[in-house]
Amino acid sequence: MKLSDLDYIDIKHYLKTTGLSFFAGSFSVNLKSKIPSIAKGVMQLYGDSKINQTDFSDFHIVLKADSGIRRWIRPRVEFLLSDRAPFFPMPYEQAFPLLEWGLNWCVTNHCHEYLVIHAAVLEKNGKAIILPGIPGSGKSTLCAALVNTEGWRLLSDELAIFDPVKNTILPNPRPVSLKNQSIDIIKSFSKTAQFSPTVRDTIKGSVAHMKPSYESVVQRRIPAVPRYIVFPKYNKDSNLGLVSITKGESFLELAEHSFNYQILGEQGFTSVASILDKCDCFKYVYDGDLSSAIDQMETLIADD
Amino acid sequence: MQMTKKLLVRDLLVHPNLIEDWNLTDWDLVIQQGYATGLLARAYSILRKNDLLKSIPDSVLWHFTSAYKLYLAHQLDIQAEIDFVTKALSYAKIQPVFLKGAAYTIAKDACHDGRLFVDIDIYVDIKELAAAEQVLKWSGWKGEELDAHDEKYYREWMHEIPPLTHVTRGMTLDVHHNLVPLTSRVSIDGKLMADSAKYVSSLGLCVLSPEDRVLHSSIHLLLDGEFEKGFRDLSDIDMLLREFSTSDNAFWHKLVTRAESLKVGRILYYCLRQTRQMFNTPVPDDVMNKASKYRPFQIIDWVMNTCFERVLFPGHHSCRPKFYNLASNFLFIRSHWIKMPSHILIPHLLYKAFVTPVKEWKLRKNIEKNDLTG
Repeated sequence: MKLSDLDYIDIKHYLKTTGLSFFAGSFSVNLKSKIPSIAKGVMQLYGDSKINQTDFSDFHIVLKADSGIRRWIRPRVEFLLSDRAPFFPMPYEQAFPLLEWGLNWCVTNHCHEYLVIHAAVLEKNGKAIILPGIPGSGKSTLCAALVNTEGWRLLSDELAIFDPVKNTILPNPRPVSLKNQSIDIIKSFSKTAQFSPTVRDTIKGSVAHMKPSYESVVQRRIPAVPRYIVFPKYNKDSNLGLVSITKGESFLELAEHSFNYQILGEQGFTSVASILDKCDCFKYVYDGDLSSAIDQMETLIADD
Repeated sequence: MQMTKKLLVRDLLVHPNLIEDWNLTDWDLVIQQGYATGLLARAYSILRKNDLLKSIPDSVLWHFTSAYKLYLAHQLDIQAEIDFVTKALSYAKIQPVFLKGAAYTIAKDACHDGRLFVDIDIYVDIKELAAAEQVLKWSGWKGEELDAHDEKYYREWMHEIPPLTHVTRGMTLDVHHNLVPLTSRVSIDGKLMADSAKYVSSLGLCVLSPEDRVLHSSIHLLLDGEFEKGFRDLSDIDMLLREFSTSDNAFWHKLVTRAESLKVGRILYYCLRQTRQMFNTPVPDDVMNKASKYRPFQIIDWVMNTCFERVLFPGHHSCRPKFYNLASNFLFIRSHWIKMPSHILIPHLLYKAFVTPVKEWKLRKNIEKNDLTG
């Protein structure tokens, strides 16, 4: 059963009472909240996610608004995992982005069975491209454009979760986070994609989330084999394209972009090494022309 | 005590065999309680020792193994840090006594396996303090910038100097020069404890004797007034008591005698009572009777134990007893009352109530901007 099989009233009811249990990507979440933007956001963006019918959830999350006098003066919202608050409260309007960031935090802080890299991952024809990137690199925009392109599957827009035992990437298909100008760029790029309302003035500027494709969500149990690592670098004045880089350079970059490289120790090292064994590595300087960027990625996949 | 609420994390620590009858709902709860108490890695260690890992359902197991991996990584950092601290202080020929978590690790007490801690606590004699601070600074430890009030708070009233952080490694070091605040109504001669500190021969490092480790942990647990990690700390004490009393027949006697000579009999009494109640610690009746000599006047005894037994529960809604907040506020106020005489306490509280929030608000504004990355 999927979340979209429930109507809004049911979703609101579960969120307020027992909690709504569903799969957010590969992890099961029990979510409680009385905040309407959470109910709407979940309904709109997690519709294809499976309802968790077992009695176990990985993460028990509550998004709680201020009570008492603060409800009326600059109200805030708090993210709680098992009753503990890892972050400072945020303005009430930012409840849904806070949920998404909090879910990422749950994975990066608790999941050390895998090497978790800050990167988008997409797959076509059984080959996955890892796109690591610092904020502003154009990673999310490129990722969102590919998700809206026929044949591409989203594994994650933020977290490449590498399984050191199976040497594959674990899918974690969740809403794609877009910031500032990328929101309008992707809205005009795809007429069919669905977006949450844009939330302004967050610590990352304006933020909106895009619903992942149905295919990406239903294939969440199918891992992908990494084949390319592409470090995007947005530069409005340059369209250098794909430039091959050495594995040594990529090694350092990947380790740097990992959340738990240090924690995994030797296993972190061997994980990065085995990713690189399978992957060709590139820097990709692009000027924001998405259709040409997609062509290049398509060519890359087709080449081999 | 009310046992109606399910305290599965306690059941797992004390009677691990019970897990074989658990259903998925129970596992769901124990993982939540484990995250809330930070005890998943310890739980993993106990289940492994009892050869029970196979009884953990597949979908649940990774929570334990990941927590344990995190612990192992912390251990490496901590071990290295212990060496760095020892080395730095050796330039001034100072031999520190390691306390709390670091001590459990050095002494290889059973409770160290799976116990996470982020800072290292050491004791140095007050006469050596200036030299210790100097050499630590040379080796890269730096104190937080404090305002004049906080500086005075630490230097003149407390038992430790402001926490030091290493500039490149980021690890925090708490340097104690006494074991309770200097202004405290409960005074202990820190030197007395330190003088009987034992070398752990193979490493050449120094920790308090087993009795003193228990007493020192009990003092901090019951007097500090902060119980966020109270359940974990009480579990430490339970494990220390079980381990020491098994390996040394005279341990209980030594513990009571030591508490008497340090004049902390009442703290030992509260502590034994609480750990027996929560973890069913096998405290022999005659030991309990001896410690009970130090119990306070009946009504105070009742109030204190009622409060302690509430706040020592994990801070998770599934097992939080009634009047938790009331008890916790009461003990917090009491801890300040004990910590300082009123002519110091009242101005301190006024400062913390009116000046500090403004400063923190300004600071928080800056941190918030950098808080959520990714």
